Amino acid sequence: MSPSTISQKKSDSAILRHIRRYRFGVPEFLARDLPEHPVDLTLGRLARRRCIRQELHSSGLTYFRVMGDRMASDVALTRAFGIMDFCCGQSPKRPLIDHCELQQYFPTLFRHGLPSAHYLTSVDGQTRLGHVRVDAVTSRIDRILSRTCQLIDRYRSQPGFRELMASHQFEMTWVVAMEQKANRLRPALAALSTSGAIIRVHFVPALIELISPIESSSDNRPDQPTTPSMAARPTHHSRP
Amino acid sequence: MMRRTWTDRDLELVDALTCRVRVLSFAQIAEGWPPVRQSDIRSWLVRLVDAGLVQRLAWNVQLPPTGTIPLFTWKLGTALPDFSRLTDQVRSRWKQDIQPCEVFVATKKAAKLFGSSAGRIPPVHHRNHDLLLGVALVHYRRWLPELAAHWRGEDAMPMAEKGVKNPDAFLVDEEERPRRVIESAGRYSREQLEDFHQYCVESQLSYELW
Repeated sequence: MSPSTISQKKSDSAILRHIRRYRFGVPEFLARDLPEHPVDLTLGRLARRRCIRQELHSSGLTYFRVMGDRMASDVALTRAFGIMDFCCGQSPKRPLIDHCELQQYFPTLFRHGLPSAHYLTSVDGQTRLGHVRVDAVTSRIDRILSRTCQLIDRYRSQPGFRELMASHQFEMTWVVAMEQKANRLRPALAALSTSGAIIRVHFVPALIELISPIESSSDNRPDQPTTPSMAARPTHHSRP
Repeated sequence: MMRRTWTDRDLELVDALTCRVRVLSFAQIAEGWPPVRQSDIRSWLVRLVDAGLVQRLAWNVQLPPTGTIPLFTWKLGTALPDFSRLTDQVRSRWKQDIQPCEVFVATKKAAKLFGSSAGRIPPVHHRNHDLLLGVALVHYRRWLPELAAHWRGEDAMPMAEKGVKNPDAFLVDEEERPRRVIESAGRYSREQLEDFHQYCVESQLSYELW
């Protein structure tokens, strides 16, 4: 087996693992998450071998899904995009972990019935477990608050999570599209910090094009965007 | 990565209607968001209406006075206002005849997207008051754009305690802490003006009354 074949296999495997982990693969996020792999070449090779399939969303977003997996709903794609931006769209990365890995890293924690989308992050040299949620259906602030309370209660019902919360090793992150919503959500969620859970809000302006694109049926567009593309402007921000 | 369908102007106007004021008239939008051609404003607004972000309404109202400075400004530590005189000024300035006015408000969809409590149609008795606040916002956009960026409307602020009315808008600092209150006096009575003043004294905030 030649070195290049081994390398190709490694790249194939790494990229397939990323796509399975995040449900979809977006080339820009793949390149940030796996800078050591030739992402475009590998995606092309995997697509030719019919391991993955390229899709073009109406927003213009190109993404890949594993062959045989279901087509993404807009909400699922929005959720995946928000998670990808939060977990691997910036530095430092916050790798998403699946239930098996959660069990592996925190053997005492995993119980059936927990939500998915857990990630690891490092704060002041300490590893912290997090749960990320995306406001993909643009809920009202009070709905997000009550949902967060329910989630905290679910986590707190388990001794392992209670311990993590008490030692500030567990956080929850809401991903929203707009900075304005993040600014209003932060103080509202801060009231729940007495639970011990650290709650963060992260905003991803690009999500607005997936959640609520402005269709131009009659090409009614008096002015053109002043910046060339969503990818060119800052796409995220988070504050505890 | 994605095709951009929201222009900067789309974002600014929907932000204004969800997070800064509750209503803007067509004329206010044309003044605050100057178009290249008047027809551009019309087609731009139609596009936002079609997208379900903005709702167009036709009101018959007395248009607000179009002053370019606040009616009254009060700074912390200065003397009490002359409430009798202020009430007369507030009430005597509504001189225009009632006329048709095309106005725009944010939809609930836009409000949820921007995380605000907007998306309700202002009740009949709030129309003058709300349109007057639009005058103040347009003034800030045109002449004080750096401060306009710090404007937070009532619907974008944390909920007030039960029974406490938040002022119409605040200018906030970098930490989102209110630094100045902006209030449309509409047709306030003396009692309403005194209550509002008392709120600002207790909150240790200077204010502008429009």
